[in-house]
Amino acid sequence: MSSFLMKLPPHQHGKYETKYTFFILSAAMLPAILFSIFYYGYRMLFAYILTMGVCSFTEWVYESIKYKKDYLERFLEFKGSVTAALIVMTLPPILPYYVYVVAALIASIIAKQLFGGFGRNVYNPAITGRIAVLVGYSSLMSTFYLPTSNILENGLFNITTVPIDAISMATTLTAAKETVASGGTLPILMTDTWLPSFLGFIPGAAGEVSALALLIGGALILITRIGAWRIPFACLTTFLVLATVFWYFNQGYVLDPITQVLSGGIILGSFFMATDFVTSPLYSKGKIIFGIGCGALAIMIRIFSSYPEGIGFSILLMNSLVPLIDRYTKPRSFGG
Amino acid sequence: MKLYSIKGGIKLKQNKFADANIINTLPVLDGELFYYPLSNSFCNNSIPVVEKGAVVKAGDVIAKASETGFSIDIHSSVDGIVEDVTQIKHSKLMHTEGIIIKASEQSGDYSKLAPTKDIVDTIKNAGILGMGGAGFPSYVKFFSSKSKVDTLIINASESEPYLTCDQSILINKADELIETILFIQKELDIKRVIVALEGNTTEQTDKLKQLAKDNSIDIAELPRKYPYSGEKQLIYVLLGRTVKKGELPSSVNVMIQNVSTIYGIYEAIKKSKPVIDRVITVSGDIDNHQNIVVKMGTTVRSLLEKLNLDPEKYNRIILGGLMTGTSIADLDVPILKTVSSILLLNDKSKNHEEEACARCGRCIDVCVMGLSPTGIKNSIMQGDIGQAIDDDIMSCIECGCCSYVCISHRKLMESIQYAKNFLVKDHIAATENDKAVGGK
Repeated sequence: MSSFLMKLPPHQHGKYETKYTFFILSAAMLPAILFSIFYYGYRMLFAYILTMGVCSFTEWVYESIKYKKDYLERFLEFKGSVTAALIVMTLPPILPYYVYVVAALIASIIAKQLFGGFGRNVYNPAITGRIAVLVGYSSLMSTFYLPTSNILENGLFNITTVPIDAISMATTLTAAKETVASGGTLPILMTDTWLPSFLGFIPGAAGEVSALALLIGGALILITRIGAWRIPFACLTTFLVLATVFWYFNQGYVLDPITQVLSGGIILGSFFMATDFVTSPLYSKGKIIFGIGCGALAIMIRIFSSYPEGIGFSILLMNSLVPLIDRYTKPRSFGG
Repeated sequence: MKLYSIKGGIKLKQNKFADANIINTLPVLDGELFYYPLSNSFCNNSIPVVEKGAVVKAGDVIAKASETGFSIDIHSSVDGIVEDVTQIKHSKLMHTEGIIIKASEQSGDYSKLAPTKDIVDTIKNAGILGMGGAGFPSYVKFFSSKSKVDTLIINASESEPYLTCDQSILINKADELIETILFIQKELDIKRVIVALEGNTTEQTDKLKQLAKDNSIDIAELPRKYPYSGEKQLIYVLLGRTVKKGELPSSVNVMIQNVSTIYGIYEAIKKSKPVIDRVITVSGDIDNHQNIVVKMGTTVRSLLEKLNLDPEKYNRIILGGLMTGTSIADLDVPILKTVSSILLLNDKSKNHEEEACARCGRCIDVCVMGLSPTGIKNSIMQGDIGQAIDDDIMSCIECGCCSYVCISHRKLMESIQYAKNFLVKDHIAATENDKAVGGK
């Protein structure tokens, strides 16, 4: 008599698996990654490969220890690659390589594995890694560059160097902060920065500069329903509304809302980092509360603190509220 | 007809290969053994009234309903001799008390039911259960619905893949169905009848639609989404009425009957025939998909032999649909009233390990009951059954959508089912015990 496979119902499974969601997430990040490589040169590609290697390796070591098995196939899944890519994208473009390694190790060991691995981490690993190096290497972190030539003119294997291929320059947000601090006033509408900010030809963090590339990826995330639309929607709406209010009452001292959205990491943060399943609320109501919190904190840190950018801090702060939000936003059952 | 929309549900690959136009009949062989368990999912502990060696005719009562709890009469489906009253195999309960009958030469006739005045008694005597798969005794439904119900819903939407047995009845027995529906409508004084068909059931059901139109019966075409045919979902989609937690459809003045059940009622009322056979779909990774009338108690083994299907070629056999059916390891389990299909599958999919929850929230999005399967599973794994009960674990309709969509291959529905069947009762008993002790 042949033996039959016994399983509990349901006897079939849908097509989505963790692997595929990560694949689509990576595909969504691709436009911004490609833009950063195109804009800042071949050096960025090294940075991505190095960080991905570090993250995947620690992930593999961790799983091998945890499950007491040699998970070579798991290594090939490159589980930490999304985190790794996000770390490079949120850091300034031309950095010593060891900074990437430090950020990757902190992200993957401290923020993820010490909490119990994928699915159990409280804080977004990429942001934790980024903020650790932001605090540790603050002078490196505040230096941004505006390339004067791109990979097409430079040739593929020419590494971007300062000051030949790029000039050191403050980001729009930092520049505005400095202007106001030194007693100057800002133009009411900075219309001349809108188009370059949208396309990405401004100084800034490697993957954050091009709003267009990020929006293409964001659209992919929303269409495939990998990320919940509620979080970026609530986050960006709150951010815009508050930015408009603050700008309206402090004209000349606060950047206009459109420049605010297009510069800094708000688009990257709201589409790719706040939507991380593991560290965002489970229920739809909670997702909206989470998004509103992220957006509101981000604009308030930008305006009222000494940091020019606050999306990373705001997402981390909201991450720690997730268990509380989940507790009070449980949906009502049908007929219950 | 206006339909209300409902949250959740999934789209499944249909795979409806079995031709619904033709219903075959499975022959009975001399000396074949038939098995009749005395307990089923809802109806337990019928009392055997025959002894070893007794000669029975098809339709004879071989076990009487017990007085306690839900219980029904059990009828022999063949002419034969009682082989034994002993422990037999059961697809869900593993082993249970049952009666074995050895078939002799078949007369083709059956013992008629004793005539009764009340429709409820007829249904009870005929041993009719909800034949959609749950097996809730129909006489209870009728009894609790009497002079209370204003709408009768005929559930003719088979949202499970492969199944076409209900559809085959819709096509081939349209006259009988309408006759029975009108009879029930008159008996119970029901204002409105709705037949809920699954969308795009093609032109095959035109005859039924025409007949329904002539008799002012409403036809509703549901979107092809699983599990819109769930009882509470169907009532909401069609009528916009919400059945409260823990209540039956009769609380919102609705009665729902499955098509196969209605056909069973037709046979009981018009032909005085108890439920001794039913239409099931035989399908899966086989070539000759078909709908076939099978006598109750036929074993899976003899059914496959008669259809020339070699079980060795397949690695999975499922009684019921792909989403809710029971996987069987033993071919000697009998086919019961609640079995709507046999699926023979060559399952090559890997057996995935459960991974940690990625908190993606898909299970919450698809849950038609608005539950949080992952939250409930976490509570169960932590042993916090009280929290799971607070999160309405008992509202779960066990449709399986959550496990279907889980990207981490977590066995959500499986855990919830286990907790519902075993842990919740213990927890309630334990807390009551604590209270009693604390009260002293």
